[in-house]
Amino acid sequence: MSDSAVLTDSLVRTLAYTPFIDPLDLHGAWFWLLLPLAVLIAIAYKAVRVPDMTSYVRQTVLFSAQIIFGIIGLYVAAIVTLNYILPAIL
Amino acid sequence: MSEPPKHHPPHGLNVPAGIGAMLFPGLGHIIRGEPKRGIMAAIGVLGMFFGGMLIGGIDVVDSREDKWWYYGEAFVGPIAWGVDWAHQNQFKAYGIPGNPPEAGEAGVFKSSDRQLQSEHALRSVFPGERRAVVDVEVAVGNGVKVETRRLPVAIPVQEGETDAGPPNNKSLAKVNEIGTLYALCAGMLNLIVILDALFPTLKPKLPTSAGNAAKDGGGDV
Repeated sequence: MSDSAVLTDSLVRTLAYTPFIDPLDLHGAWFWLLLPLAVLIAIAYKAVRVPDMTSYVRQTVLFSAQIIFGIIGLYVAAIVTLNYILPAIL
Repeated sequence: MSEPPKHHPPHGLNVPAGIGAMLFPGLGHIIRGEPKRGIMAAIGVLGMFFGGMLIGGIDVVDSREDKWWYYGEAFVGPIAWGVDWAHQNQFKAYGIPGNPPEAGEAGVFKSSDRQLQSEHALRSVFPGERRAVVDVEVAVGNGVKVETRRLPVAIPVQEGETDAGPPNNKSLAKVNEIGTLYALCAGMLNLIVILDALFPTLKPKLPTSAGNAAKDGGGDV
């Protein structure tokens, strides 16, 4: 295949993806997507729950951290339960 | 026994704000005179909704194949309804078997009202297929009457059709799950935003002194 044909082929393959219509290929890094989800949840939730918007940024950051550490904690709890506790019991 | 309050607190219901919040995320709080809250709520909700579409594609919003998830996503409002309408009417096709239309000739596609709801039901176009709007002979009722309808049909891509393919790629596995989760969380969070706009948390009015009126505002966590 000539250089121009290779370039055209790769360009066509790239253009075949349409944002917001086709999915992204993030199967190998899907867990990282939980981080922006936690931040966006905190942004929307704290927008209507903080009594005073002057403390909004601090409370949003705090809430994001709570969600992320909560998810990590649940993951650790699940790993410990499945790999150590249940095999010891059963 | 305490005395009844001399002045009833303002009623915690703001219908225009509630309607605005249902129409567009954050609009209710802007109507209530809290633009910062409204803008941040909109950023959060729409960021999640469109972030989900970016991750999983338009396939994450589907009122037919993922209806329980869609019931939550629909709380985002007309934006979600519009995306689903586009998905159902501009991207999906009926799985009716038949001869693909060749140049200058119409394909032969036959179905019935019952089949259009079951084995030929509207579905995503698969890889190796393309979407085409063709004439379909549909048996109506008991099959006595046959009418011709223009319907989108999934047609296998023929050899030589190098630039033909499905209008969208269906997302699978974890990418689909995460994208759907994003859009669902957007709907659920917008429900909270709608309720906060519709039923503002009110603080009781303090004992009278000039200019010492309490304001409406969000409640504590």
